[in-house]
Amino acid sequence: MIKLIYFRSDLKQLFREPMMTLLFFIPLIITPLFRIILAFGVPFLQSYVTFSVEVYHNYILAFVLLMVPAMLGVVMGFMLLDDKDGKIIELLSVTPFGRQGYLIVRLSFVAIATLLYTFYTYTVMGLYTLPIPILIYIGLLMCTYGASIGMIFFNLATDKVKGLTYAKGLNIMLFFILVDLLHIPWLTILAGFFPTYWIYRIIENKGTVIPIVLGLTVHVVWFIILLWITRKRKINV
Amino acid sequence: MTSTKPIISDANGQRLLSALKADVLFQFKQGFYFVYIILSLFYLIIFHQLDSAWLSYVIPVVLFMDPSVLGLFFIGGILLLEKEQGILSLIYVTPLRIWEYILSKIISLCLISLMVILLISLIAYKGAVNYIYLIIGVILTSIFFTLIGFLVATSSKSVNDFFVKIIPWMMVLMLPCVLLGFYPNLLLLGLVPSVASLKLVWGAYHAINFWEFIMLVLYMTVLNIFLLKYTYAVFQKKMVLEN
Repeated sequence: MIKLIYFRSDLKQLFREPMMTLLFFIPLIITPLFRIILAFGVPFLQSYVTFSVEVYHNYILAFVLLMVPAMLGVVMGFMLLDDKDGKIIELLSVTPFGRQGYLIVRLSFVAIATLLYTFYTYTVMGLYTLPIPILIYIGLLMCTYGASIGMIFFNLATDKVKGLTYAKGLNIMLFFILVDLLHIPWLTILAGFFPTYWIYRIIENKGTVIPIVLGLTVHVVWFIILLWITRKRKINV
Repeated sequence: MTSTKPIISDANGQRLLSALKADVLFQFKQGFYFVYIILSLFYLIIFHQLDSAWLSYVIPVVLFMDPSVLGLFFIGGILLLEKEQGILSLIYVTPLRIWEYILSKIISLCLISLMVILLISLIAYKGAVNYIYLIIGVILTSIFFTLIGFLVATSSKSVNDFFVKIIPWMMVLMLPCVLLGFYPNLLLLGLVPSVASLKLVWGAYHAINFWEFIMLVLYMTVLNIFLLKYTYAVFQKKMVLEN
């Protein structure tokens, strides 16, 4: 019950801040925008190039899908920074809800939104067919990815300018989607340590066991390590 | 405000230099340089794998869309953080003038843009590049976008508010650049400052006509001077006096 109240208060905070509202709902606009750009841009591009753009649909889908948790994670990171500045976390740590409850609510907020947007993005883009269980699996992995982004942001950024810098830096992880195209062995090995690479691999090798297992392992390891760091640092309390 | 302060030409340069040093140090501490070095490395890895015929198209577009316009976002964060910390209200009691404050921010962000662009271009691109055109183009582009960010930040209450306000600006400025791909010969598009900037950066890689380059440089210079004067007036009125 207490958690439900805090969940409702999170929603209130989201709508009170125009930036949060905008960023939280931006995937609703961005996905159709990508679809429109593809619909007009691909025939235009195809008149200049000899290769088929269709071959790269899996990369495009992985990129658009991953943009959502990356964006929502940053939004949540900013919300956490706001709470840190406003000493809300200090206040909550002496209530029955506690610091842990606060973190669970905040992170599950990103997770649920990510899961919903995964289905929305997949449907609107309509680029690549994935079995439904695989889509659900990708959605669940991206839930942990979004929460991890929020935690990285929160642990590293001491102010909003630093937050801005890290938001830019965290986008580098999206590059790892492309590493298979580059054929650089050391880069592929490096990418294997990052969650984004495995989302692409699961999309590419739909249903193959190895990417599914390794993808889960990397996501869970990242999530647990970050959760441990966040709890150890006690969020400035 | 500035007329009340003694005008000593040597001191002007000293103050600007000190402010610039402080800004570069702040940006370094905030990780701007680190993030852009890592980002440049990734760009270099990707560009290294691309066919050289493609590079002349991809490099100018990427360089324009990322490092050239970085000031648009970062200036908002910097300015509003300094506002929150009460630094802006202290400008009056320091010898630093508002012009110097604004110029220092613009130059420091322009330095990062130039550093990243030259690093990427020199390493990744083996074809002919007119580096004088490129440097002039990047400087004018960076000044324009930083000033737009400055103006938007001046009318924003917080960093979050700045983001809400900057997104429409970004779309308005970037959409005509997409149109340029479809209608490269439409002269009217060149009047949009972002398109003029893109043409300047693009021109360095595609041997732009000398007179077209001069026209674009003059247009962007005049625009930047007006924008700088307007930013100064708005910044003094809204940020400094109100604080």
